[in-house]
Amino acid sequence: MALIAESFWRRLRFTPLQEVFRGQLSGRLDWRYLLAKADLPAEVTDTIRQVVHKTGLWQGERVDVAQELIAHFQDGLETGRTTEELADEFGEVAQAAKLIRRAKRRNRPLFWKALNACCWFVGCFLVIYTLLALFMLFERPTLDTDYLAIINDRDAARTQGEPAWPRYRKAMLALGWQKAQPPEWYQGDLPSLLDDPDEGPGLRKFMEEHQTQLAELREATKIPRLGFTIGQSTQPEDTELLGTLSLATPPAGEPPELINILLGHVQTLRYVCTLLACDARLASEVGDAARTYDNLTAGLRVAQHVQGEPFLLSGMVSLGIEWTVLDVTEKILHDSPELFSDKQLASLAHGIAAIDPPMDDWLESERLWTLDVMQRIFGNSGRVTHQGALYLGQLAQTVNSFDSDRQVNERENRAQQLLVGIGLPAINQLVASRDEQLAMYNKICQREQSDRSKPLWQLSDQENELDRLSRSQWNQVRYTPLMLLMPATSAVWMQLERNAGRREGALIGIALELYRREHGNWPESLVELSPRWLPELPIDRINGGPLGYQVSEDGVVVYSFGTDSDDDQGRPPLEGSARYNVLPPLPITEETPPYEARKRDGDWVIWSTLK
Amino acid sequence: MKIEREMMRGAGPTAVLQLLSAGEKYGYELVEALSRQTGGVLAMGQSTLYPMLYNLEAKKLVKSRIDKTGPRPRRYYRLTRKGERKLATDTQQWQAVFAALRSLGIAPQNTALQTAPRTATAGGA
Repeated sequence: MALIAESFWRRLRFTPLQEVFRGQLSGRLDWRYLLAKADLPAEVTDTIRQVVHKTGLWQGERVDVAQELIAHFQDGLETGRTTEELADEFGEVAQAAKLIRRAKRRNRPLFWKALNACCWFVGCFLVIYTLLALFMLFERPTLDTDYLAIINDRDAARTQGEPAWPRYRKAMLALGWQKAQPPEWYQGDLPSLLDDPDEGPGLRKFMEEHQTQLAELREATKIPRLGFTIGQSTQPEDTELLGTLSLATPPAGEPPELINILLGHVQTLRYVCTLLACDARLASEVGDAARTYDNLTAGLRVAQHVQGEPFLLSGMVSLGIEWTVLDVTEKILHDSPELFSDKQLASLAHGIAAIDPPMDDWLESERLWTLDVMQRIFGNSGRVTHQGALYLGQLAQTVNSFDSDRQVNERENRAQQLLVGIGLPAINQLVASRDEQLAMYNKICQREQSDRSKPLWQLSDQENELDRLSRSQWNQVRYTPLMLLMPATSAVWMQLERNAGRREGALIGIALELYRREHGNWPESLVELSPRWLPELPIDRINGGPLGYQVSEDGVVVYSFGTDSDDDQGRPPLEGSARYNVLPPLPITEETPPYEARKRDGDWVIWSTLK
Repeated sequence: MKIEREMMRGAGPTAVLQLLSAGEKYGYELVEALSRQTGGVLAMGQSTLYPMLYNLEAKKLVKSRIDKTGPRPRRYYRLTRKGERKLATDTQQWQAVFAALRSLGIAPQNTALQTAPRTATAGGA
């Protein structure tokens, strides 16, 4: 068929594109022109025009329908039917258009049908998604629990009486500590600095001149209750000593964020321990056994004060303090074995044995910390809120140190809020709900605690539950908050083992010295120490067997066989220090890399009197 | 006599298939044949017939072609193989329905409906 409309533009408009490219302006899609050319009575023309127009079909389909209806009416008229009869037989225009449209669309190609279904699916999805996003945008986190108050109340309920903190604070301010910073002269390892030809004399002079403050620190350690209210102190002296106690002030009516609380007092107590350890060394040099003893036992009590503070961070600091005290104790007993009286040695041993790191308490405060963050991310429904998602993003930046100091301008901030708002339903599909996160948190902690309640030789796998969880990329996304919030317990468990080993070494060392004083010689075997000097003889923490013991004219060595579980007669590893390689037993095999083998090949010496 | 839309929906396509079994026809022919051969019982307007034809075409029961040789271009419809099979099945089903109705006394025992569809193998309109 080649019906050509008069107007060039009209022909162009109603010609299929491929024909236009071929230069054929057929105008064959112009069904109105076709209808006009049919020269039917006005009533019939109008009926056809209305039907074809209302079908809303493609141009080609309309042309087909128009042609068919035109032919139909022309046939009818030719057989002598009147316009009225034909119009009456035709039926309802709107209904006809609807049925024709439906039927013609069924004839369309499969590709179009698939595309149409996809469009419907996408459209419906977008509508539902938008409604969900709007619904989720209105949910706010419910900040109904003040976890900081819970932690402080728990601490206050546990210990009563005069607090030690004001006395620590007064002495440290007098020693020059201000705004969480040590004085300019202070350098990290004070006890070692005493031997420094440049710094040593000045340090010794300072320590001698400040004996009053050091005595005050020692007195402060004797008070059982530390009594520092974290994050909420109203004492101006605290601000003077520690600077700011919290990184941000919570908005009115909202509980403070535990993540913003600073533990400057814990760091200050670490300084206290370093000063006491330094003074212990000084006192031992001049043969002042009482002052040495007081300093060492005071150091152990500082460790106990810090142990009582919340979070694993405090735990790690307390273990560090204990480590420092054991370091100095070991050195003093090594250099001046006769310094202490039997009574002082026994008392020092009791002080060391009294250290019992409360890992469960630290983990409980970590759990409260996690709950505090969770209540800022999730709403009452258990879904991630808009504010929560933004908070999570900031948290991820902080934890991963992604450009965390960069200031976000207002425009970027709005764009970020918009993007997070749009992505909220998707985020909630990907990220597990609050209950699921907490269930997984508890599962990981319980599994970890259950694993770590076993001795090292029963632990075959060094991978913890969190490592296992994060092996799956899906879990990494699903448990994003957990991945950011889970405490690094592995490092703490490892440090607990190291400290326990050193503690046992010091106790055996003191027992050996007491034995030597009574018998005039070292025991043939460690078994002779128990129960007189040791209620129970420690075993090798790594393999569960008896500790190694070597006696010679030069002295004694007490040791664990180390991670290779092989007796090297007390020889330290060829590489690194066995102290930092306290892990489940792992024999050296042909597959062990050479460096790793050198690290493991040797013993972990926990006590030695060898020069 | 006009029959109910629901009944027409069931009988109409079978009637059209039956008419096409005799050979290809264009729309107006079908309208006329339906009206004439069924005594107006299955007569249907264009608003029903053409959507029905398009549906039958979509189901591949009929196939159409445009004939431009006459005074005006006409679209002719003819039965496909699939359409023949469908007609045979429908015929059997309708016969079963008539038999059931007869057994209930709804249709006279000895009266063959003039308008009853013939089987595809019977041929002719």
